[in-house]
Amino acid sequence: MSAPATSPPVVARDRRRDLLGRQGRVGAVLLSLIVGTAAYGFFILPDDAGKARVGLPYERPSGANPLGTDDLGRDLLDQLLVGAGTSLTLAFIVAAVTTVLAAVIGGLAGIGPRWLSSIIMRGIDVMLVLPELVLFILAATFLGQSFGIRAAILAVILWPVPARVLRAAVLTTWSRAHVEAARAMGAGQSWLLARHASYLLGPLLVPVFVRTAMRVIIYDATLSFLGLGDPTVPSWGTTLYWVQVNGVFLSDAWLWWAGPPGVAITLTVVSLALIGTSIEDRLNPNLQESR
Amino acid sequence: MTLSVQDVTVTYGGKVAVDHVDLEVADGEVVAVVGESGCGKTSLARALLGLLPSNAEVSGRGVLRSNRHPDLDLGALTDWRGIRGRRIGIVPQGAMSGLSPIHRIEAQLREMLTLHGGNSEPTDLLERVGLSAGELGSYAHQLSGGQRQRVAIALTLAGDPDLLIADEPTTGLDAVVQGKILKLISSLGISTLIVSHDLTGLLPYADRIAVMYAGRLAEVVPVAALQQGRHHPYTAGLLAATPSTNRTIPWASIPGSAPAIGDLPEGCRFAPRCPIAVDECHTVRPPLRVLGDSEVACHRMDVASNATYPAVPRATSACGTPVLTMTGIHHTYRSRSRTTTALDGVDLDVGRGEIIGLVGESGSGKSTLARIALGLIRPTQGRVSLGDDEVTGARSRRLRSLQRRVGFVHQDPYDSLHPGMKVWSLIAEPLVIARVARGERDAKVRAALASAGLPESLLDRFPGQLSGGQRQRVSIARALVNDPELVVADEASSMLDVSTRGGIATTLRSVATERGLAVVFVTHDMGEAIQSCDRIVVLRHGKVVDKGDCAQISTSPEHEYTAQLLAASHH
Repeated sequence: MSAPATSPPVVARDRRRDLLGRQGRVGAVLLSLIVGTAAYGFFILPDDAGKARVGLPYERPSGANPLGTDDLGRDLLDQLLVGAGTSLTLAFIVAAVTTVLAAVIGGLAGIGPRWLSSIIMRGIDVMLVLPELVLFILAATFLGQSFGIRAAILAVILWPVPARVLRAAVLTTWSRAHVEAARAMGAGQSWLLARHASYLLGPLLVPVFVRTAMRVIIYDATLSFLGLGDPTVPSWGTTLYWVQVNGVFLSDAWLWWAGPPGVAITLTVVSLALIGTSIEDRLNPNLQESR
Repeated sequence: MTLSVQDVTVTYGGKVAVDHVDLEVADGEVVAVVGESGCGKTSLARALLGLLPSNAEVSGRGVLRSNRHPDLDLGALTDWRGIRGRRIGIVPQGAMSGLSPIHRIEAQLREMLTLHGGNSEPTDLLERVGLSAGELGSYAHQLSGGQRQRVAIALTLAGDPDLLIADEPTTGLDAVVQGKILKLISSLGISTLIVSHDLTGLLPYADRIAVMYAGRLAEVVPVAALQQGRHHPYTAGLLAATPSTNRTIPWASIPGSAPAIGDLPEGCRFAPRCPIAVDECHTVRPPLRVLGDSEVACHRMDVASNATYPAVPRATSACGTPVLTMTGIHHTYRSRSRTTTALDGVDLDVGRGEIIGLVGESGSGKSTLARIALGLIRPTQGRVSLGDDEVTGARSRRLRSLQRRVGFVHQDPYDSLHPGMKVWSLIAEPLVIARVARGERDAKVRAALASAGLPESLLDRFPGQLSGGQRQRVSIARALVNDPELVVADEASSMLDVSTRGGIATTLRSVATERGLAVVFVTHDMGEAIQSCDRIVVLRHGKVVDKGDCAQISTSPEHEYTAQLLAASHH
């Protein structure tokens, strides 16, 4: 009836004002702390921080080296701070590229001709069946380990899932009455997309971005841990790789060597997850109804 | 007296939805609570069932009496277990999808019998609702909509309740089936409260009618007295606003729209729309007074029979040259496993200044035909031409330029307007798409707005700030703005309140006459088509079963199915 039908716009406006909610705000505060740390590591610390030998190998935490040093006498706190920049930069670049890829490919699969749609969807199915990690390890082994190549491989592997989600969203949007009315007016696809679909589809890109960033952090750490990252650039995963190589877990040095990067990875992923799920809860109409 | 309700008030966060309502249901009586959307009828029913959302506050008394159980004070209830189902049965809205898809009918009936301690057999329950024992082994998807609603009623009967509450029990069913379901409910012999928006549809089946308007009872009247006698002006308006299949009875509409729940007028709430209101009506609330067999809340009952409403005009001139010609249209929908024939050889032509009614029930292919006329769907076979240009062969750019010559009014006023665009931009959109010069747009938008019967003050509102009827007029203005040759209105009034439907039809008629437009009016309501169109085409299972002038269709239908539809429109 008309009373409930007229109220949703107001409700939607209220929700949009509070996009994050309490849970999302916790995530946002955490993430901004981590980004701040990364910025400190990138802009304030000297260029060779984390790479230069500043003390004796295997030193315990002290005033000069608050987290101690590694097997070459490099400062672990510096590695942690500089590593934050590496991990987050990779995460955000890959997330941006993946979101664009997913939007373009998913959109084409949604509104393109039927043959194109089937080709894309079958392609996505094949990508989903392949074991991602194995694929990633193979690619990293044979194509090299530089930053750009790692970013490219991650983007290529991560787009299929969000593309599928966005295709479904495009299909739903295209069946909305005001889109159909605009089609009947003789509007072209680009007009429909810009004027009628953007406000419905745009918000869905935010969770895609956040979730992808989250997965990139984990994959990057995994690869570095396996020794497939760039061992000369400090990153959280690289630190963990040296932990494993040196058998640190046999002594109590793991506490200040393996612990901090592990906690950093966990916190970053948790903060992104908090933001991602709370935004998605508010923007995805299907989830809204079930709340 | 099975149910007596006194002074019930329901508020949502301080906004009054139901305002001091008294109502009684006698033993075995069928009482219909009738009103338009937002009048509080559903809130009233939910209050009786304890099913209101948590932000609602209820006050007042409700007592359920029966000779088998002790009296029950509904207001004091905190635990509804053993009440809903056993004492009060609920026939839900949309029972079409309310049955379990994975259990057989028998299992669902047995579950209800166990739950409510009923002692009848599933077979008997099905028999009471007019289904055979053969349906016991069926799944919900194997039954038709009407059969599913019958099963839902059988489920309600399992607990052997004293009172049935049916909230819009026929929503989503075809007209022919609606009557049968209402007849079944009224023949059960149980005290029943039916909540509905369809006053005339209930007349043959209810004993008493309670008309609600803006949260208050306007009138409580026995059906026998309603069919003669004087009425509350609102009741008279509702009766006149229901299109009759008899062309000699004019079809009217009540001007304006029902007030929003937070913005109720002083005095009699119907006064702003009432044709016979005087100053007193705007200031003093009329009490519910006994008048003969009925109770009426109106200050002007002495002159109530003078209340007249504007009627939908008829065609004045003959139709002109054909605008839309469709010949031999076939269309099949293909999915992986099956093909469905939606249209099977349909011909249609519409001339200038003419309104064609495309009538059919759900699944008749009428919407598919409308979308083919709009160029949204390409038919499997057949030819569509607009003026001298063929639509069927046109693709991309040429198709879009043809589509700009056709206006479209969508069925759903709530979804067919982009929620983030203001009325001016909504109406101007076809002009932008057709690249009409910027300077000409404003004049055209204002002209279209006036043709659609809207004031210019609405131009900078968002659709969320408009009523359903106003939104549908914005849709009409948008369809008109680029001077189309043809307007396709797909069930343009089906989601609107009864009292405003006639207004939409009036607007369509006036634009057809003034602008020489051809209009295709798709509807499932035979009465509406007969009242507002020039010619009618009746579709069934993708075939034209009957076509002809409205007068001829209404008096002497050629096909048996048309006669059934006419009979189902029951007035």
